[in-house]
Amino acid sequence: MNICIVGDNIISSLGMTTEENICAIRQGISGVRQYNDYLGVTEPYAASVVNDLLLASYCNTLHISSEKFTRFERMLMVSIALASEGNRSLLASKRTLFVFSTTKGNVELLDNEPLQEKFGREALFLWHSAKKMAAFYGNPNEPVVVSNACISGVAAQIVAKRFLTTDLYDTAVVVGGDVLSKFVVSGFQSFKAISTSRCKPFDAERCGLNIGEGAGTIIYKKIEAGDDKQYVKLEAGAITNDANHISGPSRTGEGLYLALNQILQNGSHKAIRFINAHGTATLYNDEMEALAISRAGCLSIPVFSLKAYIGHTLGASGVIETVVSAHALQEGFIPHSLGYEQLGVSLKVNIVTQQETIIPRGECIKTVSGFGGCNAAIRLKL
Amino acid sequence: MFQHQDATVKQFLSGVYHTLNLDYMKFFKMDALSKLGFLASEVLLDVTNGNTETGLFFANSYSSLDTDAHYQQTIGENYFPSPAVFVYTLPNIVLGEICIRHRIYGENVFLVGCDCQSSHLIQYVEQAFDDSGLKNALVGWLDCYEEYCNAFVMLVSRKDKGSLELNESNVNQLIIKKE
Repeated sequence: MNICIVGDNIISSLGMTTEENICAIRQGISGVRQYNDYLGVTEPYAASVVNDLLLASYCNTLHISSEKFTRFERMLMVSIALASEGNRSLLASKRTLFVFSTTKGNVELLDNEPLQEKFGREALFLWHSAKKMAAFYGNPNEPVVVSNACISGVAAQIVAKRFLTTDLYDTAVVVGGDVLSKFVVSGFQSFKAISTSRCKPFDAERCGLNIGEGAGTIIYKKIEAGDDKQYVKLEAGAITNDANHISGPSRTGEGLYLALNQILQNGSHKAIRFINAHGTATLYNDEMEALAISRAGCLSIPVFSLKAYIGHTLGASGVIETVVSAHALQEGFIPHSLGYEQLGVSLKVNIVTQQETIIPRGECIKTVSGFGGCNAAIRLKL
Repeated sequence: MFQHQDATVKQFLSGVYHTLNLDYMKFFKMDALSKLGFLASEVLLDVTNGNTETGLFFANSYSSLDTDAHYQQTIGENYFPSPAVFVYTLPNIVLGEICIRHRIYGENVFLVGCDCQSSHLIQYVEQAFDDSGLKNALVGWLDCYEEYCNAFVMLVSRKDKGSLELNESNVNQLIIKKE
């Protein structure tokens, strides 16, 4: 039995579908813009924002009312609908489990009394939001909600994989999402972590991240080995901790190195076509990742970050970026690591300087790291 | 093991800290949720020399809402966002604090649910033991918001070889409840 991707969706500044996003990435198009005095934050910052007109249009078609559902909820619900391609019975099945990934859910309601009046204070509870969304699609199970900072999207996939090994479920709908808010932007700005221009992961001139919003959905299904040749499979996953500092990455890349080591255990480095890194373009994160990649013996493997295309979408990032990885394997390409010009980390990581064509076969790795010293890595195989 | 009538959550948590005779200055920078989880782990875990075989699995219903509300106050009319507060506006930070203290490098997951049963926490822990080399896990429910706090934490260990049995003989429990 293998855990296979049978459906997916990406919603970001680049578009409302996986196809639109992949197409834009292949053309080197970025959805990051500079914002001045946006969302009540006067200090300028570069961000990646979902188009509200497009979102409204999809919500209209799908009968997802803005009277009943918050912006955060509507984004995730549209993503679920598009990933499932109208297969309502799959979503409503008792043997389907929803696994949500989000860092802040409806946090924008915290300083918005009118919105709290409209949706109720219970909208501030992540589990309440998740339940509402799963119920809209008729699913009878309590959804799982993973809230593990920026590793949530990958952690949620590992959680989903574990639940799929039980007899209770055949399908897991993994949905990650977060929306831009004054809360989150101000917070990252207080760390001086946000750049005012498009970010430059692993580059010598990198100066911070681009904050993003979006949603991503992956539908994982248990399929018999032999019947699963055309699907990208989730082969292995690991979640670890640096045990070092709650906001700064480990100076030895301990947690990420251990996670990489764990997922490479049963496979060979040679089969790995690329590593889709976290690459937030902060000074410390990229250096830590380079160190971990080196310690894990992966310096020759092509590495890229997607953050200059769609920003750091927090709870959505692990899911969205896994979808891109899966499609890259299937379509036979490795994305250009946008924003990179000159090596700015102390180990010679093999950053992808222009889009590569590869045979659509093999394995890839997606890594993530987050506040709290957490790290995660998964290995996909086609 | 520790009782303090009529104390606020803050006083209660400080009280436990002093009763345990701890000497860990970082404690005083933590938010309530992290203090709660940290104290539970102090009772149940020993400091190790780098442990990849212990996991941390927690859940709650409030996520980091208590600290979120505090942070929100720093970005109101008097705009002074504090990184020291912002970092705690994520429920998994408590896992990080415990990992740092006990040098745990292993799996750490935070789930959010209406109650422990709905969060799928226990089922997840059982699966995690089944398909990994985990030997021990700190598992629990850690919920707090303003003057409400409710924690139930247990240390679960793999018995001999083979599958894990969640029973009295290999479960040490800590219950803290304040309403």
